[in-house]
Amino acid sequence: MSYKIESKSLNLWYGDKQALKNISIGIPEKKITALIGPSGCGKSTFIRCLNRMNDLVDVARVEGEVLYEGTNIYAKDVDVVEVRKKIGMVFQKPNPFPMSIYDNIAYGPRIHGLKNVDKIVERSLKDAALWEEVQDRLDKPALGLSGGQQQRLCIARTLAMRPDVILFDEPCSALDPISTAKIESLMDQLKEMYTQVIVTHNMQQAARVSDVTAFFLLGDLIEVGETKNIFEMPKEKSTEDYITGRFG
Amino acid sequence: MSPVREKYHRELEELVTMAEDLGKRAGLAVDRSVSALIDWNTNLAKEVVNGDQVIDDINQKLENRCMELLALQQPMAKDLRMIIAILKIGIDLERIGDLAVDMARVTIQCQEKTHITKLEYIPRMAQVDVEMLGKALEALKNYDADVARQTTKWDYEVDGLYVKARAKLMKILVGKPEFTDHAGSLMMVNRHLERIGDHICNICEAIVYMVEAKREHLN
Repeated sequence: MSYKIESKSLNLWYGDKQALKNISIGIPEKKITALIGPSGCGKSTFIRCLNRMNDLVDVARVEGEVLYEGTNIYAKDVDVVEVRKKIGMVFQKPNPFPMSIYDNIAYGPRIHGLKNVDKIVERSLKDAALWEEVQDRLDKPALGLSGGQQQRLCIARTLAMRPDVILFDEPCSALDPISTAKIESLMDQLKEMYTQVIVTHNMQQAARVSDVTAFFLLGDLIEVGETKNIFEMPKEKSTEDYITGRFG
Repeated sequence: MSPVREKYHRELEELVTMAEDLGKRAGLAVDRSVSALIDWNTNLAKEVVNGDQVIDDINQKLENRCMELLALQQPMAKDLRMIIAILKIGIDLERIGDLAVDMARVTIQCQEKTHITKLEYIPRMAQVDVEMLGKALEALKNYDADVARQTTKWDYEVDGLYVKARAKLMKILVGKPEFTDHAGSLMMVNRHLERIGDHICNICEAIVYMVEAKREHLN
C-alpha cells in the first residue's frame, strides 16, 4: 500500500506529560483513515501533528518524524504554511469567517495570489456539495447558514487551496444526523481525489466511512488495520473492550 | 461501565441462555420422537408434535431480541459475532425441532405398529445426535471453540450409521414391495437423523466464529 503520510517513532509532550508515545503509522493515499479511542488517548493530538497544528501550542514538544510524500514536515527548512496548504484541516465546530459565503472561500486563494477566484469558489462549493444550496446567495453572510452547511463551507474553504490531504477533527460532532450523512457522503466522494484522516468518537461513523481504522489508548497506538477487521475481529483485547463498550 | 451498557451486556448473556433453552428442547424432541418410534408410543409422539410450537416461539423471540440489539445497540466485534452466531444457531435448532416432528409423525401415522426389522442403527444415531447437541450447548455456554470443534468429530459416526442403516433397509426392500411404505418412513427417519448431525455441526461452526472470529468448515 502506498502511504501519503507516514509517522515514524513520533513522540509528543505537553510540558512534562507525554501525549504520544512512539507512534509509527502509514496513512494510505486516497483512502479514509479513522482514528478512534477514548478521550485523552492522543488521537486529536496525533492528527494535529500531521500538519503541524501543534506548533501553535507553546508547551508542545515533538520528536520523531512525519513524512509527507517522503519529506519530514518537521525538518528545519520546511515552510509550515506550505505544509498546511497541502494538508488542510476541518475542525469539530464549523468556524466560518464573519464575512460572505463567497469571501470565505476566496480568502485563501486571494492571500496566495491565485487567479480565477470565481472559478475556484464555484468549483470548491460544488466539490463540497454546497453549490446548489448557496449559488444564489453567495454575497450573504456565511454565519447565516445552518450548522451542516457551515461545516461543508469550511470543507469547501479547505478544498479551495487544492490540498492533497484533508484532516477532519470530529467534523460531525456538532451536527444533526442529516447533516452528518451529507458530510459522510461528501467524504466518500472526495476519496477519488484526496487522502483523508478523521478523528471521531462515533464508532458507527468510523465503521461507515473509513477504509482503515487506528485505535489509540493513553498515547499509544494499540492497533491499526482494515476497518472491517477492526470492527469484526480486532486482534487486541483493549480494542475489543473499547469498541464493545466494556471500558470503565 | 455505565448502567445502560451493563444492561446491554446482560441482554447479550440472556441470548445465550435462551439459545441453550431452545437447544435443550430440540434435543429432547429428537430423543422423544425416536423413543416413541421404538416403542410405538403414539402419545409421546403427539407430545413431540404439540411441543414444536414452543420451540418455534422461543426461536421467534430469540430472533426478535437479536434484531432489537442490532438495531438499538449497533454491536461491534465479539458482540456482533455473538448475535450473528445466535441467529444462525436459532435457525438450526428450530430446524432440528421440525425434523423431530417429522419423525414423530411416522409413529402417529404408521398403521402396522410393528417394525419390519429390529431398529439397530436408528436408536444409536439419535443417541449420538442428542449427546452431540448437549456438547455443542456446553461449548456455547462456556464460549469454548475447542469443544465445538471436537463435537463435530462425532458426526462421522452418525454418517457411518446412516450408510449402514440405509443399506440394510434397501436390502429388506428388495423383492418385498409390501414393505415400501414402512421402509420409506424409516429411510426418512434415518436421513433426518443424519441431517440433525449436520445441523449440530453448523451450530459448532457458529460457536467457533463467535469465539474466535474464524470461519471454519467443520462438516
